[in-house]
Amino acid sequence: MVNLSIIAAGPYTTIQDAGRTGYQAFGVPEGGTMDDDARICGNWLVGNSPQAAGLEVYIGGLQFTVDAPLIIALTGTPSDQLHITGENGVERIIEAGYAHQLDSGDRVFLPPMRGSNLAFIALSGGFDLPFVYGSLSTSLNAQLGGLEGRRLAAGDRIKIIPQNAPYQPRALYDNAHLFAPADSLSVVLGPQDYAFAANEIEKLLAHEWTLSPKMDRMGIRLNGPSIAHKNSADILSDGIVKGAIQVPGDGQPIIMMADHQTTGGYTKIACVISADLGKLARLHAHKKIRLITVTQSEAEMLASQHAAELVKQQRDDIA
Amino acid sequence: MKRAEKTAARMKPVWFPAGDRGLLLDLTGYGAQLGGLPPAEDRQALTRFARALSQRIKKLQTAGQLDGITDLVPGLASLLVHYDPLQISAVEVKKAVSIILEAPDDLAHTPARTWQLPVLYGAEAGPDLAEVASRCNMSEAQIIDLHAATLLEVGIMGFLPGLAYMTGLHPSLHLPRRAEPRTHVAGGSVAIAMDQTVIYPLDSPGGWNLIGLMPIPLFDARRHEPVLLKAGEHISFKPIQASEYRELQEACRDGQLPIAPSEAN
Repeated sequence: MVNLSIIAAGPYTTIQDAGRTGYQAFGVPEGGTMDDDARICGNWLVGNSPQAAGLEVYIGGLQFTVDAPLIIALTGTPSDQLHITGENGVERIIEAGYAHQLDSGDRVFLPPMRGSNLAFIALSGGFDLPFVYGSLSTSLNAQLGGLEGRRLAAGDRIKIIPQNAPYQPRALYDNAHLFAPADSLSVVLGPQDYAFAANEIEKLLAHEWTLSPKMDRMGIRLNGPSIAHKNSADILSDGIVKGAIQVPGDGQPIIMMADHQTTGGYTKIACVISADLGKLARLHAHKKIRLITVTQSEAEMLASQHAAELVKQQRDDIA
Repeated sequence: MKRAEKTAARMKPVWFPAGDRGLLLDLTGYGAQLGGLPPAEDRQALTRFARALSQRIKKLQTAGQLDGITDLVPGLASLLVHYDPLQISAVEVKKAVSIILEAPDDLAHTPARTWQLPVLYGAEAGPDLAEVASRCNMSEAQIIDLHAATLLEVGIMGFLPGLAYMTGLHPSLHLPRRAEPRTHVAGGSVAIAMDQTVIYPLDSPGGWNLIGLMPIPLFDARRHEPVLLKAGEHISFKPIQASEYRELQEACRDGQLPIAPSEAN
């Protein structure tokens, strides 16, 4: 067992894996990492399966110690670093996108980040925590998963069951490119685009939108022109996908993210494509973006291309 | 089921894309937005149809005849199919589901259990009961009787773990949601709006009219089946006093379930 002792947790650090599938009909949210790209690449760096749980850190400020060797990697940011201090007081700087072997007694610090709004810290092995509906993901709304269904706090101790695989000095092929900040996102119109007049949809696509500071794991509010409905913002409650752009009565879109409710009663004008969800999650508040439409089948093709790009990042021959 | 099939046939289900990981089958067609809402009874029938369709798709999955569908979420008169675009395309999902839609005879009636849920009505437990009574031109006692006795059906589960949207509320109790939603509603609150009753599983914000408190947790991870209610089940309510409320709450403390549903029929 490896003990991870939290010295400082930062404002919003939770345990997240690939989330829950198959339980939304009971109201159990999908949850999981906001940035799947970071989770998949991070887990590869430390030798875990792509679905494995790690620490999702907003802003930074996380500090912890380990009492046994462990492999660590920071992903989801093009430029930030982990500061690691050994028991002898010597500090090492580990760039995002590189695997690194921690020794017993090492202190790990992620300072406030510049390159991304949130990042993933992968740790080799598995958390010794109970799976809830097949996942370790923390859901704050549903108060389940992770560590007691809550964010981490100073003084927490988490046990990790180490894996036996030996350390390999892995690195992502082009971390800076993969996690470079986006200025546009692709969307597929629907499922309720018919509830809006053509000029209102034009408004969605023609304007630059600013990410509101009102953002969390449930959703990201966009600030921009108000989008009007033909009749009403209300629909019969239906299911929601990650990335759905909901337009409530006030006309300001909200993009539903990992911890979105399973069903909702507001019109959804479009959905951000799966390949771009990680990009969106990484953007800071006040950042400006444009939305570009693609068809559903183009989006499916982009999903395959994106998956292939992630595989290309995982090359054992370049470390 | 008969009514559901007829209604579904008349409404002509329409598919709408939900990104590259979802397909929404709207059983009302464009009804909800353009032609006006179908009547409450039709909506209930279409919601049943959506659940039955979801069960049929699950059977195909279990039989290994359909891979790549990651979740099925029945809505009110709709079904959202979550899929993995790396395994299956939207075109293939539509094709597989359309085959089932063309043979609705297979969508057999699923037996459902009936629950009688205890509710402490009014006063602090149901702060909106007095207002509901005056808006409906009834006494509080009449509202309680009517609400408790009308058999409801769990239309869909959603929003939070265990939250059931129960349809079939008596027409004389139909009220809109509150103009100003509350920022804090206690978990266990029984609330009404439109043709529905909901019970909030956890403390959360909420805009429905609060009429009582239900002592049995809708979600408790310690129970064998953590989620209390299932879509399709029938619900009525039993008015209880504060002392009984506290006893039942106490009886649930360690994850026990002091009430049981009637057998499915």
